[in-house]
Formats: sequence, structure tokens, C-alpha cells
Amino acid sequence: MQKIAMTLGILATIACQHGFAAESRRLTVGEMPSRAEFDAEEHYSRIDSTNGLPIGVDLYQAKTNELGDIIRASHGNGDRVERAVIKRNLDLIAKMEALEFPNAPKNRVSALNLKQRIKTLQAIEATTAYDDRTDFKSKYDPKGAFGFCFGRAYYYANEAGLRGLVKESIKKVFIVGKMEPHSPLFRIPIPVGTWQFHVATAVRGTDGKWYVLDNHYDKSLKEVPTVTEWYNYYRKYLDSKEEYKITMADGKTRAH
Amino acid sequence: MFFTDPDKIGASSNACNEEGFYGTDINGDGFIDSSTEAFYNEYFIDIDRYFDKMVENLSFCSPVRYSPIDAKSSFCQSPEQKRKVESWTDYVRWQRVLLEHLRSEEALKRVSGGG
Repeated sequence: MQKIAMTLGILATIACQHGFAAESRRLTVGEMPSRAEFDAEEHYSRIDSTNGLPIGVDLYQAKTNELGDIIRASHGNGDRVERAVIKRNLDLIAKMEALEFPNAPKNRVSALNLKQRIKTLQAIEATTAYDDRTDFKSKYDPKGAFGFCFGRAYYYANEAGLRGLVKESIKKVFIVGKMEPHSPLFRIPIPVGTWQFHVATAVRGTDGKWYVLDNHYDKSLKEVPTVTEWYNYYRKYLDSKEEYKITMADGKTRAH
Repeated sequence: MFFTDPDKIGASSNACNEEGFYGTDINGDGFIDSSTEAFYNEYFIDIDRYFDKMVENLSFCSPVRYSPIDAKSSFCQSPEQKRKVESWTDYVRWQRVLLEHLRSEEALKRVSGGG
């Protein structure tokens, strides 16, 4: 059986940049917010209603499994693999866009219009989740260990829900794989580190498309891209050499 | 690329909105062991504080809601709802003022290098 020689970075915890480097601090359970009793058995056996995978699934592994199938079908040809991966993802987006709108109870909505999407994107400025605050790094990330995309995604999912968007119209979108994104500084792209994945919150638009609330995509907080635009932007930074470095059944490594 | 329910936090993490936000006391010893049970740091604790405040103060009459109750309705005219709308509006306004203050302070630091 073919094996994929990818560095998966299967860590006990997560980070968008560099890896996990939490300060050692013992929190008592009493300090935790008690929004719900946590039932581990129930939690870990639950199935994600969006993708049919277990809720605690390791997406690196899920990707590896899918990529293995694609590689076999493409006979290990890197260009074909890349095209197949892009097609797979664009097909997934189309499938999500074809979903029926859920019913919204009174005082809630099933989709957001342009103004609501932009207002929600900008709302982060008034919260501690906003990573462009000058005190942010020193307070939460003095070692530059986190990218906090997962934290901002957490924020936006809850903000959208509390403002009244139904849960079925709120999703997380993950791009999994080694990435080396850049941020423009005076129009010069500057590398911002290495990510193992990127995640953001997507919300359903009134036109049926899914839109991504991600202040990393547009630091000026003016643009809420469609998932397709967001995907096309970040996939440029995926390290394809690492992505499609494959050890074939004959033991030879083929990198594309 | 994967779409997931909004509960999922990270690509390889079991962490989920429902279990508390910065860790799970998996072995039940009363502590969150930072090496095996903690997922996050104060970042999430502070966001949770913000959401606690939001849950408490965000009136159904607030214009922040996507589908607010009519402000002229008797429900929204009640002192309690009026107080909530005002309270949350003030809170957000002050957070933005604070952000601008921090930005100005930072800008001042940049232009006032030592002589």
C-alpha cells in the first residue's frame, strides 16, 4: 500500500503557527466557564453534521486518507493530483452552496446580507479577540507561538450566533497542510511564519453562497470573501512540494 | 479543505465549544493539566468574558441583532430592555475608544524616539 510521506504535525494541541507553546499554568476546573457539562463519552462519539466525520476527527489524518485515494487515481502525477485536489475542494464548496436554507425561528435569521456580514467582520475590533490591538502580542502571544486563527474563528462563530444567525448557517472552514503565508507590508509580501492549517468561520449569505469572516484575509476589515475566493487566496501558500511528496509502493519518493 | 460544524476548534484537536473553552479535566483530578488537558491560554478566557457580558446585555431589541424586535414595541420600551440596549452600545463604544487610544499611544511611541 502506498504511503504518504508527509510531516503531519499531529500534535496533542493545535496552533496555526509554529506549534503549541502554552505557558504552564494549572487552571482549576472551578475557573472554567460552565456553559455545559462536558460528557467525554458522548462528545467523542458524536458525528459532525456537516461532514459526517467524528467531531474530534484529526483533519490531518482525514486529509491523508483522501489524498491517498487521489494520488492512486492520479498515478502519482503531481500536476494531476493538484488539479484533482482543487476540483475536490471546489466541488465541496458547490455542494455546500446547494444546501437548502434552514428555517429560522422568530428573531433569528437563516442567512446574512452584505451589510450584516461586514458589520460582523468589523465587530472584532471591540473585543479582546482582535489580534491587531497593540497590546495583543504582549498579553497573549509574547513568544509569537500562535497564529490564533482558531481563536478568531471561535470568536466569529459565537458572535454570529449570538447576533441571531442560526447554527446551520455557521460553519468552520479548514485548509489543512503546511502553509507559508505572507502579509503585505507596503505592498511587499512578507512571510509571517509557517502554519499547519488555517481555519475561519463561514456564514451563509442571502445569495446562498458561503462567506468567510476572516480578518487575516483583509486587515482593513472591509471585505468578506466567498469561500472560493478565500480558498484561492490561501491555497497559493500551501507548500505543494511537501503536500505531494509521495513514497510510492516501490519505495521511490516522487515529489512534485 | 473541510467544512465542519462551528463547534470544532482546531484541525487535530478534540476541543469543542461545549466542553469549556480552554481545557477539559479529562482525568477528573480537579485541575487542567497544561501539557495534556489545556488547549488555550488567557486569550480564550478573555473572549469568554466578553461573551458572558454579551449574553447578559445583548437585548433582543438591540440593533446589533440581525433581526431585532421593533424598537417601538412595548417590549423594547420597557426600562430593562432600554437599559440593556444602552449598556451594550456603551460597552462597544468604549472598547473602540480604547482601541483608538492604544493605537494613538503606539503611534506616539514611534514618532518620539529618545534624543
